[in-house]
Amino acid sequence: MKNDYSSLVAKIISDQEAIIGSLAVDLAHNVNGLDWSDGIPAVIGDSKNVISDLVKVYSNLFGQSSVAICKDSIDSVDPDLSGEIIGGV
Amino acid sequence: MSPIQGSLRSSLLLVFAILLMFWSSTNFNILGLGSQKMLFFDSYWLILIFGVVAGAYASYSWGSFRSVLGRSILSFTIGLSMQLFGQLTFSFLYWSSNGVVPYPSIPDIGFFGSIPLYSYGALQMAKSAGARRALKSLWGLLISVSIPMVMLALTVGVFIYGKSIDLSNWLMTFLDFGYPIGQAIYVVLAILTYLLSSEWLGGRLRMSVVFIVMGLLTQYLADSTFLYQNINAIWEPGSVSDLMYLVAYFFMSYGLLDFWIKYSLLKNSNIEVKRI
Repeated sequence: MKNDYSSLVAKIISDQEAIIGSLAVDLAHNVNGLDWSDGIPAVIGDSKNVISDLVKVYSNLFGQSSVAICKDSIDSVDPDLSGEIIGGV
Repeated sequence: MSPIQGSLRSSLLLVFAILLMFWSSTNFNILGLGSQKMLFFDSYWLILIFGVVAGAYASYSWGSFRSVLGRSILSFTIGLSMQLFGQLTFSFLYWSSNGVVPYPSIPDIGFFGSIPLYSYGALQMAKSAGARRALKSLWGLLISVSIPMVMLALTVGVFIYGKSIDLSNWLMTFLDFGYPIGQAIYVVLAILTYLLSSEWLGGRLRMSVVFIVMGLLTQYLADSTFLYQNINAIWEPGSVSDLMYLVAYFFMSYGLLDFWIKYSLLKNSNIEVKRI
């Protein structure tokens, strides 16, 4: 499960990177609970809280538009999860 | 915000205020400057320098070709550079040919060239601001169909109806039709970007997008006014259309500078995440 959440985080970051460039990766470094020691993000904290925090960080850019793009990223991996996580953002 | 960004913003506001006062002085004959309209016409392109410099830095910061937002900003920046080329060559030809600038001529490369760049930039901005999402709603679909139709009807009614096609002068015919249609395309995209994303658009980049949209709208009004004045042979340098171009260039330049400033603020800030 830990690996699933890590790949979901990677998917969210990569989708944001396609829109705003490398700043997406820089902003993700501000999120607690992500380990970057291998150069790629690995979830080490409470998975849902980490993803929720990541979405909040991106919502600073375009507001709900950014949240909606994150929701699409989550839906593409696990549609049941987005309501649970985005609902808290 | 870095000292360079701060200086650029202060200088942009100062130059815009001076040029606004200058236009007012020449058009209302304040301080005996009524005869200096040509000098205003030859100087307001200065505002474009700020937009081109800020846009180049902003585009590079936001990923340039590698991101949707970077491509949008780059497109607007090259579009502004084309406007700068058009303004400078128009002034040169105006002076060197005693006030008679041939049409079409070299400046049209810049003026017409900016139209596809503005259109592509607006399309990419709509994508980055999440406008596509609104197309799923009935309201979104309705305005996406009705606004282009209204603009097309307006463009044909005001600028194209009654124009004849002269294939012996194909370039002039192409531009006669291409200018109003092209301008209508980028303004439709700008309006749709704002309307379709207004429900969702927020965050720190909202105002940067709003400035760019206002710039495109004002430029469309300026282009339409210039076309109208030109068709009716009432255009003169430093008139109201040049004031509108000045305002449009200011909005565009300020929007691009705002994107660059916001990038620095976001990159250097450790965004606090508040858990509910």
